Amino acid sequence: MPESSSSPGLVEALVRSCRARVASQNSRHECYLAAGISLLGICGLLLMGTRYVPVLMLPLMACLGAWMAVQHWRDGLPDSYAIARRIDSREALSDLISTAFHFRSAEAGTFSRSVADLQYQRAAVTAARIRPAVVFPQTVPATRRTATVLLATALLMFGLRAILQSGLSFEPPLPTLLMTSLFGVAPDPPAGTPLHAGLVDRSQVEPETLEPEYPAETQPAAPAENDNQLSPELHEESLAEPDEMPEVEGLITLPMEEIEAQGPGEDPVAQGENEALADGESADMPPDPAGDDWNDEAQSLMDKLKQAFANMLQTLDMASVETPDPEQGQEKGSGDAEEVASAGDPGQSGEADQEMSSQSADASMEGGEPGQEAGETASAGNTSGEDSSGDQSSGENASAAGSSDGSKEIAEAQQQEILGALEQLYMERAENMKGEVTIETRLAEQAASVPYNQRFTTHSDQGGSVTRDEIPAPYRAYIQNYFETLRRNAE
Amino acid sequence: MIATESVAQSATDQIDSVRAEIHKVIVGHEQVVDGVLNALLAGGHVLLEGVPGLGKTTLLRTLGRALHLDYSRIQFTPDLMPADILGSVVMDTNELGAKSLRFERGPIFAHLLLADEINRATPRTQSALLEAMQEKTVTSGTNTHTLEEPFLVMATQNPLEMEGTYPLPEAQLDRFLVKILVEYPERDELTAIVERTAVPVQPEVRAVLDRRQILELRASAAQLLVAPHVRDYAISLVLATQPKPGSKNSLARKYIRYGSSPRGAQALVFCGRVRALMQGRLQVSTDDVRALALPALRHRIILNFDAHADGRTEDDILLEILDSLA
Repeated sequence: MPESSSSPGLVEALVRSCRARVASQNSRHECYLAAGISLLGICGLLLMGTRYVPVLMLPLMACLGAWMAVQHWRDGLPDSYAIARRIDSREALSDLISTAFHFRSAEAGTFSRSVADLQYQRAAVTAARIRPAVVFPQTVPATRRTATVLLATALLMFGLRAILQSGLSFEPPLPTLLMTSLFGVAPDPPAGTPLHAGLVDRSQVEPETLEPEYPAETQPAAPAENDNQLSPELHEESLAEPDEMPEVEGLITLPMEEIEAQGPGEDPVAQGENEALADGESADMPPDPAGDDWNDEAQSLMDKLKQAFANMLQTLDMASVETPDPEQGQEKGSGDAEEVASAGDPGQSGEADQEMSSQSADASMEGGEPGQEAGETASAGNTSGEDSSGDQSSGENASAAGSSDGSKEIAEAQQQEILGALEQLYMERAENMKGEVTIETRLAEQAASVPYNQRFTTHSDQGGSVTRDEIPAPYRAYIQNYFETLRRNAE
Repeated sequence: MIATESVAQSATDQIDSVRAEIHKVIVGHEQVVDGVLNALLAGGHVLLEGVPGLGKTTLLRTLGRALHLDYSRIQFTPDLMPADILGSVVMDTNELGAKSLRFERGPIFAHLLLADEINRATPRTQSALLEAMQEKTVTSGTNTHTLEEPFLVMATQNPLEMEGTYPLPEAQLDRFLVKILVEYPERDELTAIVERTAVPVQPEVRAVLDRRQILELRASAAQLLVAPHVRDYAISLVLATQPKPGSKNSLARKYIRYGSSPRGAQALVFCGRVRALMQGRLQVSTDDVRALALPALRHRIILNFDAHADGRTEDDILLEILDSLA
């Protein structure tokens, strides 16, 4: 065996050299990766402009790429023993190099040192003829292709910007520049005013397209806000009984005569509401071009409406508990009847009308023809029951119905409504209700065909009781009074 | 001891000489011959399985002639008793009329034991070999007799589907270092067999190795180096055959009822060393482990009903496990 080939350290030198080549290859790979990430930031900047991508993003992306590259490089660099195994695998050496490399530095005791030395000499001979450049050739990293594509993209976008702009500016987005130059339909918004999805830059829209029929001082509030703040029943009430609102503090209404005198289409509020309800596009109403003044006015109007309905509910509670005054009963009774007729189902409102006046009852049963004009004024899209509420309001003005007529039915309807809410709570509980089932049979021998499992539990354990907090807040006072009444009757 | 290159080369040459003597009689079956020599130098026992007439007995008899070792043969039959193998205590009377008990050694007291058609004997008789194969001792009454090294049991068995066979107990199967399947010869090999046996003069087999040389070869093989990753590969292979609940190998969980015992990992390393020595290397490689996986592990795994129902064999599953570990 030649002396040079068996010189110590030949295997280690081969492994070290191969590891350096692997590290170099990995370094190139990770450098391209870092460059690619940095170029990604540049591409984003050139595409979206500094309006959306701040310039600070560039150093951030560069740091991110460098950090990822270092992490990958550190994690991906194999140790020397793994490099030796790779050499064996690529050169089909039957683990000659790796075994020699391992046992060269291993502590003796579990193996024969003479055999290890002999095996190392064989490995050294083999290592002397191995070329690291052949075993680990420097190849083109896959990340280089990606970085090249990103670089070309960045240059392309830079060139487009230079062509499309007279003075090179990175502020506007590239798609905006393209659209402007090609079609001229997407001018740049003012600098420093970022656009949001779903909103139109109204300053760029022609003023004629912004609903010219709405005067600035009478335009309705945004329907979406109204829908969010009012329940559907209350919203219908607000549409159906504008003439009853003066009874409640803080509610602004117009007399029915004025509404009728204005004729169809002249009432801006009713017309706007009717159009919105008929089209079903209340949430898609365009925002107010008049700006914040109108919104403040609408907001105050909504506050007043809420206050008015709160007072109305409180008044209803008082009316149900206290003995009705003959003079006040007429007003309250008519008001309650209207509320029930408007909030309840058409059948219930029809019955209430029948009690109050045969004329209005006929009108309600026939679809509300006599009160059609008033019904159209109030709401063009109402159902027959809602029409009957309009009939009732006009019919009550015409007839002198008793002050307490219908109060009992109104109270019953209200009671059914509230108890219906309670029933709904119980029905939701009943879906998961578990309890005891008792089967009564005759005193004879019975043969059970299914296994019988007797279980005992209490009603309260199964969620049979409703706490006060679970009852909707507007109903609490009424329910409390209801049960107190029951208790008094029982006593 | 392997201290110089010449000693290592000499060990390889000695094994080659035995192989050449065997091939004077046996045509083909290189893997079978190497497997038997491997088991001999690794200190284990070999089980040959194949249909009758494939030369199993001839191979082992030729091996016995190529080595200067005591050789005995036992034809296993259903009425064979353990005493027929191990020996028995007999009453001995001297010329003065004094009587004494004397242990008459059975045919197991040899270096090479050919147990022909071992699965034709009852399990009781088969189990008589357990102690001899593992501890290299024979117990008769209160006396324990040590078998002399090298001790190699070369057993042949017919496929279990044949009539009049008893399957070997799992404990005894595990004591065989390797199980080698003897396949039908190829056309050119069959032609050579016919031509070689048609001549009136049979080839003469020389004894090329004696007991001392065989023990030296064993010691040399035990000195070969096993790198950590080769050892880990063998262990991973054995673990992959075990259907543990948390095992990642779904194949083992699906088809294997009992996996390989630790003897499987030992067999892979021991046989790997001998294989490396036979190829003139001083280190065991993962290629050795892969090449020896089938003979060293196929009789150590027991398949479940699903495997039999799906027509899967031990070799199929081991090959798939090898692919999954590659």
